Amino acid sequence: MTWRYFCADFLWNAALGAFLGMLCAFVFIPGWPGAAAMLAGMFGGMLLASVAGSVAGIWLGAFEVMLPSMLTGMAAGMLVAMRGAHEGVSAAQGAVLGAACGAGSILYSTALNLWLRGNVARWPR
Amino acid sequence: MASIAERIWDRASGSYDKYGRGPEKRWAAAKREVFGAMGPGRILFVAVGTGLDIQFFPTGRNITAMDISERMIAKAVPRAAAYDGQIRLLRSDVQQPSLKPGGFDQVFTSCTFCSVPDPVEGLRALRSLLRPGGELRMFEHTGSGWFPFNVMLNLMTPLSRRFGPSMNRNTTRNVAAAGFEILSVRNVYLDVLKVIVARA
Repeated sequence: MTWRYFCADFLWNAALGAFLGMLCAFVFIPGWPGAAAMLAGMFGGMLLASVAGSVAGIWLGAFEVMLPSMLTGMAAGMLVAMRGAHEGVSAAQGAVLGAACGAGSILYSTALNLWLRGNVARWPR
Repeated sequence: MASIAERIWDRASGSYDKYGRGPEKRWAAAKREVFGAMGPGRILFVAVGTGLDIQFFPTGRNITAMDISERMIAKAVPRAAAYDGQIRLLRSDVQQPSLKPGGFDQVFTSCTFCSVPDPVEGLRALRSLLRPGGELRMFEHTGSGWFPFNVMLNLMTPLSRRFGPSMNRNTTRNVAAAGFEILSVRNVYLDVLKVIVARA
């Protein structure tokens, strides 16, 4: 079951990243100020991903979907927007970069979860 | 007049099962373990909702299950009736419970203290309902100490609070602040979803 969830999470985040990357490739084109593109991509991506994550949660869980999805949105939005504002990005390039962010996000979340889960020796939070 | 919390959860009762399906399935093993600790004594389950958690209860227990929302309780009735044991459903506010002090051996909560308006007051009320040495077992989500998840949960909270839960509470600290002795904390997902065991 855990492996099935991992595969589903991986595919979901890669697909979400690809979609958001493509979207950002259309929106953020050369001429955008770099800092504005980065912030808009980051927060816009995170917001869209949180909405998509809450829908995916109906099948996949709650925080296990929501948090990696938001990380995917944040990273994909930020990177594709920055690159788009700097040199322009095609839809395909945006999708690939976004999917890579999605894969990275789920790998980071999974690794952190494997490290944190289990008994806590001290409990500040 | 209905409290704000009651109105929020009355409103949420319509879609609660739909959005709860995925998490319940994913959390099934952890919840079975938490509720598997239900002993033979007097048990209080706080915030029964629509009764989704009843499927994880061991059979043959004597459980009082409360919730602040009348509509949630109405949806929980068939699940409580199908349980192989005794479940008494009760509408009550956890901050002002209408139950006998010291009347329970164990209290269980499941994703409850993200939504109680004053969590420390609610936990103090639960402590008063437990006999001395009685046990509190919680399956709760909290804030995170890890970037970027801590930032995300903080950003989500102003919005999510309108629909019910706060995403960034420090429930472990609240349990200690309410006078419980914490026996163990176990992370289920990151440091966000956790099982807290404490003694009154």
